[in-house]
Amino acid sequence: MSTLKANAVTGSTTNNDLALTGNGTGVVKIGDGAIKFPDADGTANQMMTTNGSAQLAFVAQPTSGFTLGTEVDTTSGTDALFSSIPSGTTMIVIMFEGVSLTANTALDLTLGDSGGLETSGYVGHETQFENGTGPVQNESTAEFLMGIAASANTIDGMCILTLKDSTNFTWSCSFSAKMSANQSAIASGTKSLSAELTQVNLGGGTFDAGSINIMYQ
Amino acid sequence: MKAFVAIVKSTGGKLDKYETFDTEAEADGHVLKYGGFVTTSPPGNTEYWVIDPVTKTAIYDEDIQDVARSMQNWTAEIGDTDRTMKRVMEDLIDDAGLVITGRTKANYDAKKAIRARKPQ
Repeated sequence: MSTLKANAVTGSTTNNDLALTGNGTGVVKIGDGAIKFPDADGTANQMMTTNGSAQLAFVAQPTSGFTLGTEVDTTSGTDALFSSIPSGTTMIVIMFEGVSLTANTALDLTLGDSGGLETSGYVGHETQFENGTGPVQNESTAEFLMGIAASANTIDGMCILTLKDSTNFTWSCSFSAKMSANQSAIASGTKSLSAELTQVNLGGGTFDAGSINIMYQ
Repeated sequence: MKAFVAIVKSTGGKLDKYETFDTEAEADGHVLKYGGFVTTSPPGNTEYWVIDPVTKTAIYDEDIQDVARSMQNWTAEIGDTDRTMKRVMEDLIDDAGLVITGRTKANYDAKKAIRARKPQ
């Protein structure tokens, strides 16, 4: 190995790049830390990171903030399914606007992975408060209950899902919404999936008004 | 609900995991990867589906849902009466044998009528 010693290296031809290359599988190392540069370019808009062992590499830029999903119309049908939630998602906000069901039905939320929606193993509780009456409470292990919606009710509010444990794919759920002019509902719970979450579904009955959307990060 | 359902997992006749598809071929492909069986999607809430992995069937038990819905309706109805006749007042009237009249009696009678209709 030969060593070039100089205080500056400048290209010899005007406006030409200065090329530094390794030999064969060797790469360019720079600085006292002998930081290794990758030999191949990344893809557009990637950024460079270190592995902590002096090796730099191109990686995708972290997404900043939430990604807003595509709103699902709930004026008909029995499901509002949001699929293709990307890997690495740790928080999902589900937003309800004027959502209505045809009968006295519980709006429910189920979570799923690539194998399907899961309908057991939920630990949750839901309470509804109406002005002048006692609270009505419901529990289910088959889904997160979001509240019993009388046919005249419309649901306006949101549900927040957060990844509590990435090893067991455990999600925490917190829901609060207005159910009618004098009624509100809250619900909370946890659910562990078999694999990483890829989809969430709102259902329980037949929708006849409103819309639902999600945002995630 | 899409036309075909891949029942990925069930326990004791209760649905644990499923995925719905527009075509049977798509559902078959899912089962090939994740296990289970394919059938046509039953109607109704999945909580009231009865799954039989031996005969590879999934049926909707409307009777069970009707019972649950009746209980939900009844709970909401009796809850509404708390505005005018709370349970503690009802018990006090029953236990102390209080003689009540007028609006109090009307509210008490209304609540007792609803309580008598509690679904089994």
